Amino acid sequence: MNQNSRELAGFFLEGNIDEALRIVRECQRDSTSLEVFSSLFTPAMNYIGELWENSEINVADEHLATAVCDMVLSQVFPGYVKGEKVTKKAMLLCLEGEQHYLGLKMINRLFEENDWATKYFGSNLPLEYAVSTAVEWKPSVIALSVSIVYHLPKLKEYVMELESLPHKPLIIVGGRLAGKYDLRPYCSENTLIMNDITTIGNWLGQYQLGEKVNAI
Amino acid sequence: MPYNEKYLPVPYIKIDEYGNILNYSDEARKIFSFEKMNVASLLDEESVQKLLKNSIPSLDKKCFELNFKTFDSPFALYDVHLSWDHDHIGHLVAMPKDSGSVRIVNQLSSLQQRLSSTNFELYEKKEMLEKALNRMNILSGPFIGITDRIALVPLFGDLNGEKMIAITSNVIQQAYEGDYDEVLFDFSGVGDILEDGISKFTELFNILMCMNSISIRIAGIKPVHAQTMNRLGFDLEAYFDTSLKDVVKNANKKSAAL
Ligand code: B12
Repeated sequence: MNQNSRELAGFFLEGNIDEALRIVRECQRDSTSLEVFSSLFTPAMNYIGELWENSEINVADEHLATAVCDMVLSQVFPGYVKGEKVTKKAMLLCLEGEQHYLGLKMINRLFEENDWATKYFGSNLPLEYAVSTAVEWKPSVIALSVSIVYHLPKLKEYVMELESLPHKPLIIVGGRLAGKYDLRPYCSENTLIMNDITTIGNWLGQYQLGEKVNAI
Repeated sequence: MPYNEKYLPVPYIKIDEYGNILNYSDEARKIFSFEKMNVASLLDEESVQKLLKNSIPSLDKKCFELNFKTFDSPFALYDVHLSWDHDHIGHLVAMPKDSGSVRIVNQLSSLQQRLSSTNFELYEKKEMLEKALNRMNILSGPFIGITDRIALVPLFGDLNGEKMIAITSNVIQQAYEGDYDEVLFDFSGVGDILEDGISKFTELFNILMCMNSISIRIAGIKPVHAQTMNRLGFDLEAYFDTSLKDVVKNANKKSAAL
């Protein structure tokens, strides 16, 4: 892990928004959003997990760090001005009970930067709400994020129900557990499972390219 | 001093250095399931490593957080106090996180959730407003077929670029489908004319004139409009008529002559 991430984690834990902003802005100058997320934010938050394992901090500290991290994300990546023709639609959510939403917030940003209209619900969205929004808004992609092992049985329910909607959305599953376990048993063969943020970043790029080629 | 561990008034678990459970208090039995007599089986799997790290028998008492599986929840946070005696027996007391800090943490989470849902609602309202505005813009320049050959587009309100964009696509589509010869734009209901409005208006004129050479007439221009349009370099071979009345009169004369 790099020094910047470690420092950033320190500022998150101190509640020092200004210094956290400074590090992120510096890194942003010569990196893409994807790089800032994958090599600055993600390792910083995971380092906070290490500190907890070493009994150096408490879960309460993690909550503060999460709030600061969220604020910094919102400040550095404010509402994205979309291109003129935004026709692709994606909906992003965490399963019911799941409070680990920071990763998904980053994924949402990548969708926006690739000219998708998004509805980002953050943490804890019960399936019935997901279904009713999806029926009405008809997103072509629904991205699910899952971090806690205990939520896995619910994943299957979400995937099955959302994939069977009349407009047949593509379900993409990611989050901490996707990088740790084989999630296929909780999905269908149509579900895309992505191990990390770089995979979805590449996928979004490919999709964009495919659209351009089709347009020619 | 001999004591009976069963009656300790706190959740207490006695373990050996391999984590085997040797005894526990009634308070512990009320919270945890002692089916397997190993302390790891009481924990969330991702807390096991942390307990191991802290279980190297030493004489120092340690205090740290672990997530336990309880009858109520698959991951409940506890403060664990652990000490080892000279016989390598571990004495573990697991106290639920004090309700004060749990309350604050829950409040923080709900504030965060509210903030993000407020954000989201604002965003949805903004989207709704934008849609309504676009609809209003389209309705500010309805396309009305008066005869088979002549159509009227009365414009209402201030003429800005956004409004003209909304009107343009509607006008072009209808003019194309209807095969008209003449389109009349009536400015009687127009308030201010803005620069970007005029430039979009010019674009619309050009497109219409290219399409089946439709001829364009403008009516209802007020002196202020004429001035602004002149200043903004509006120079087209369109016919200006002073009022809609004149235009309709002329149109009638023409159809009578046919
Ligand atoms: C910070 C943190 C929190 C924060 C939330 C942060 C957040 N992410 O929003 C708070 C304090 C709220 C929290 C709460 C809890 N946490 Co917590 N938390 C962590 C910690 C330390 C870091 C997680 C993190 O932020 N990582 C950084 C983010 C960016 O990574 P990420 O989520 O994986 O996302 C990346 C990728 O997965 C991917 N991605 C994410 N979503 C998606 C979606 C798609 C479609 C795709 C393609 C990709 C993708 O992109 C992201 C960017 O790189 C971890 C430790 C660890 N080892 O992970 C524990 C951890 C995940 N938490 C854990 C636990 C137990 C809890 C609590 C139960 C603790 C408690 N007793 O109160 C609660 C309950 C939460 C709940 N009900 O959901 C356990 C989970 C154990 C388990 N068995 O699953 C962990 C592993 C800690 C531990 N060792 O015990 N936590």
